[in-house]
Amino acid sequence: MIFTELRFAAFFVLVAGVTWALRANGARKLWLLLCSYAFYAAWDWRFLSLIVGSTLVDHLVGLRIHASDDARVRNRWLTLSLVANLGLLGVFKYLGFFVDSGVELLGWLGLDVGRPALDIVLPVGISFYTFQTMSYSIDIHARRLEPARSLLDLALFVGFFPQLVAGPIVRARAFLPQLASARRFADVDVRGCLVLFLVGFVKKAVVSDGIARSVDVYFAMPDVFDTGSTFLAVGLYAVQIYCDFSGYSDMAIATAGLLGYSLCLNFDFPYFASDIGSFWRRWHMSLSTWLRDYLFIPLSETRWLSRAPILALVITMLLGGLWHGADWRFVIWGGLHGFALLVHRGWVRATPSGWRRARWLAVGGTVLTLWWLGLTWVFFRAPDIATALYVAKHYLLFEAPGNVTLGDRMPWVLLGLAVLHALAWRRVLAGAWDRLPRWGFAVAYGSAASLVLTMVHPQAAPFIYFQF
Amino acid sequence: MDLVSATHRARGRPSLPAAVGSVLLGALAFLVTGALLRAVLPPPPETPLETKLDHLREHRGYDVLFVGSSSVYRHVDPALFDELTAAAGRPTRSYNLGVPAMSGLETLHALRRVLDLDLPELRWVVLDARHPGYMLAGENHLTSRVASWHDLPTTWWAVRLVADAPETVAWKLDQLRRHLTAFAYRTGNVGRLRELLEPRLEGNPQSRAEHDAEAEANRVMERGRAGDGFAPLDWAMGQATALQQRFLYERRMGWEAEADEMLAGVEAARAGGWPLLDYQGEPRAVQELTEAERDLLRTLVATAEQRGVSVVFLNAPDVRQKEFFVRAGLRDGVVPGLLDTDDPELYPALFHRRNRFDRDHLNEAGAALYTRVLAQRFLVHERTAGGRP
Repeated sequence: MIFTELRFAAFFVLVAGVTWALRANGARKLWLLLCSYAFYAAWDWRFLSLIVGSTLVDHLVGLRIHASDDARVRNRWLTLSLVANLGLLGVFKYLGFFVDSGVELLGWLGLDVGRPALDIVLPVGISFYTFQTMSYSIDIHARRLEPARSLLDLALFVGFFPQLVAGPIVRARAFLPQLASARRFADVDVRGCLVLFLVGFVKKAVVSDGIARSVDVYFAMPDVFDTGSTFLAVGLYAVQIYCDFSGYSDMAIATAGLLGYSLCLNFDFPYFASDIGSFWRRWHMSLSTWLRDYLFIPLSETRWLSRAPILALVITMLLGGLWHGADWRFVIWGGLHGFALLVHRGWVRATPSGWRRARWLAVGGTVLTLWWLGLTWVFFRAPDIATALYVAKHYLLFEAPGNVTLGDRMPWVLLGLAVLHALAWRRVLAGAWDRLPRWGFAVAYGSAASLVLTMVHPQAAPFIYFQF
Repeated sequence: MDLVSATHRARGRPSLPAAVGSVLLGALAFLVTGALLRAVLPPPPETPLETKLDHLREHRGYDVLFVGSSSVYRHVDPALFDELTAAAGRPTRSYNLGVPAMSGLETLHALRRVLDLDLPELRWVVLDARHPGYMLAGENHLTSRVASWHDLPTTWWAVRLVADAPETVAWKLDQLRRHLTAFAYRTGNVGRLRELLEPRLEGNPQSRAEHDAEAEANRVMERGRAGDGFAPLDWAMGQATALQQRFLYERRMGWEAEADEMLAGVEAARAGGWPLLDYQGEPRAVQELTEAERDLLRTLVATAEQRGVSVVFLNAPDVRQKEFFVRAGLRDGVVPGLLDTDDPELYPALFHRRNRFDRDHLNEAGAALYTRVLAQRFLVHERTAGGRP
């Protein structure tokens, strides 16, 4: 079940209706947990056991770490949590990748071993909820958080359906306090939530799904298309993945809001970033801050890397790439971002700060950042490394051998979307819905929803980030 | 933007009646906007019924309409039919409103749309309803074709038929989900604007020209060979795109053997004096109808008769000998008449491979023969209107 399906609307009306009808906080939380598990089970009920297992392990670990002052004991319990969660990822997400890579490497060395038949299904959302549970245990170990006394609270933190399958990656420090007492409906900005959901829906079901076909056509046979089409396809994919992922996040945040819970912002107009560092402070913020707090900073503080924080940065970006998918393309993607961050770091050190505030430099930086992002997205989207290298080469050389045009009108579509995005960035019309009378908002929302549906593809395409 | 915060309490919380009122107002705005959009937007693609209704709006004077599936679309030649009725001293002006794969429910929807055109000369509708057509398979419920006939009355019929069907609860729930989704898609006009804009925005001039050519080819096919709605398959193969030709070719595989086997079975049964079997070797059984299915047939009849139009049904010759929905209705007395040619004993020529295109359809020669038989049966029925044909 995904947010843009009709059955989700029916599901959510039922969930929200019963949630707010229940007065007792415990009853509400239990109801939400059951609904969250039902939501996940609609995809595959068998993998509920992994979420439950991860929850139980980290509940035990959290209590044991908190109960002991002995560093060795605390470390052992933390290790258990990390091994359990990374073990889940290792088996379900990366085992096939490691086996394939090993077989290929042995092949290079002249040892021809057959690839064992592995048919492992990737559970939806595993990359998200394992990171959430790990952050819970790590924060308790670092004494930044007290363990959840109630298993129900921890289970709901892990399994809360708005963010369960594709984020944002929520921190326990931000979410658990919200479970302490019953939420008040009066605290909910209902209009804001409804508008945010509709915006997210448009991004995903109208823009992202609408663009997908042109992108698919290009990447299926890039060799027939001309230079302009190469840039057009890369630009369209940049829009597609942004709208797909940020649209999902918008709907997740809005859905949680309508149930009375706040989730963190995940995207803050990343394509207007003037440098790659700023981009990573605006793109998938819940992941980038997770990687910073739980990977980069601890690595930088180790004995081996404290003198070479650059290496810690590169390792973090490579692993961050690998998080996105069990494929060398994503590692390359992460490496390209790591390289860009290093270059940016050097630039910041080498140039006076007054320079960097110049407007022309900011504009130039934005253009350069977008160009580099386009290159990295090639590796993200291409079906294999060979295609990625082929497209990247022609992207960098500003030439392509083909003579077919991908779309003579799609550049105008792209321009139109850019203008709309810029208006949103400038907060034009922000809060306008608050100024309408109640009946006016109802009429406007109903009419807008009707118009939006005329632009939706009847068969909902899955979210891109579901594969992570 | 903090969506959950104590600062929002200052706005005050609406009373429950006010909140419910807002929701209802929003829903009303949604429905009204949807209705306006449906009135303004051109019909969705892949809805051949619209092409035929457009023809009826522009060309008046038809007194006999054939409404049904490809059993009508590929088989009934209005020009030949009119020639034969004129020769018998009872001239008609007929039109072929056949649409491939149109079923009982969709036929009801089409019949209502036709009658709403207010055709004063219309005296007869000849309906084809091989099966009640409430079972939706695969992802058909997500197509614009299926969504297009899921208005409120037809959806309500679908719910009744599914609820009354002799099937498991799981099957019924699944079918209800499909029908209600199709209804929601129609009410919400899901994808209607996208279907119009996508071909115009995507691609390049060459791909757009190809798309337009294919759309025009579809319209030519829908209008029929002589603009009277009749499209025999031999002619259609010559008009079809490569993809359509491949589809038509693939559905023909193995049908000749089935037709030969069926006729051999007829001969053997006649010689041996035992009942005819269908293509799976089971005795041809006229099925038992549910009460909802009987009501559907009654409603098809009543919908036309209330507008002063007489109704008779037809059965086309089918090698499979499996579906006898209307024959069961005739047996149960809910259908006023049936021009039944689906009988290899009475009409072996209609089952012979020289007159057929595939197991479900006749070729052009077979369609001509079928139209002659149909005209004869129609004239007899008209004379004895209300009696057995």
